[in-house]
Amino acid sequence: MTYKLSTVSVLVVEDLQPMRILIQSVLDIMGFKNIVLAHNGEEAYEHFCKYGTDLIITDWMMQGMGGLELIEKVRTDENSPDPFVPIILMTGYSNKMRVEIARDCGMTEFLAKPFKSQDLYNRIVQIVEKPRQFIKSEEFFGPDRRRRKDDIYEGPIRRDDDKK
Amino acid sequence: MTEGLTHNDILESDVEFITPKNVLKEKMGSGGIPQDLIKKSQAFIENNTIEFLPYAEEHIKNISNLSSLSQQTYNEEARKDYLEEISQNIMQLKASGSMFSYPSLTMISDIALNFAEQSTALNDDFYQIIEAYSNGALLVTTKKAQLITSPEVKALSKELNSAIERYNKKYNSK
Repeated sequence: MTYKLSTVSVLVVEDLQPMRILIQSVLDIMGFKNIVLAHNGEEAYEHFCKYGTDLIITDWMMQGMGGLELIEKVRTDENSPDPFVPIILMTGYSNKMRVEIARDCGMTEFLAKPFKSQDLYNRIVQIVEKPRQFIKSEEFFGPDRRRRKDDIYEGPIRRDDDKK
Repeated sequence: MTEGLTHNDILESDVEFITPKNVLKEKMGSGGIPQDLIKKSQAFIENNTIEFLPYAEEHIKNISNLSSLSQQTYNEEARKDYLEEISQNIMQLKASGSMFSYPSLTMISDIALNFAEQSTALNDDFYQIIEAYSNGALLVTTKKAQLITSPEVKALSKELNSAIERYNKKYNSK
């Protein structure tokens, strides 16, 4: 038994044309057939509001609306049809500060470029098999940022689910 | 009322945990994607013939232009903005190189990106390193010195690393 990917819709947001084609091809080979391409955040958000999608894979830095702004709109805009949609944020930046900025904006998974096919697959599996709870507070709305192994919290236990 | 509670306890009292419906799991089911398809898609990444050279040249040109513009201004804020744009262009080259058969471009861009992200002194030495990098980036893209192990690329990355080390000793040492 394998994943049924033909009915899953994926929205790929990337302003660099060769990269857009590459990601589309990689997803197609994996088995995704419902792939929509957008050149930037504006185009992606317009499509998302009209048709929705099951998964967004977006670049960070783009001409026009970038990945962070797109994530913010998807998560918090009153017109967003699905604030919980999983979002993979891709970027060539990999230093800690940048990754933390990305994490704090409400992305679901981070994918550093250049990436291997296995890296992208691992992110998809993570989203499907180990989905994160969402946190809603005054300052933040998005997937729980504490899940990763390197984020292990060693302070006092304050939440019920910390005890599990 | 708040006796015995820490500041964090009070803050967290306003936090709501939500478990969204796992739409992807419902649609996809179980079992993963067969490894042969993952390998096939990786082979596509490694062997694709998608034209990237014009885009690489454009980014390299942008880096040179932004570096020149940055050197012409004495406004610190403007210089920082230029640096951010320079970093963005380097990052794009780092991100894309390996995915379009230019692994050496990714390698030297990674060195340059770390340098640009950590540099504190935007001076002649800084701009010389950026210029050396952009010349090197042009070389590895146009002359197809694509292999990381090629002598040209090894010499280039060694030179770049040495220049950055000298810069760091001079300006970033504590």
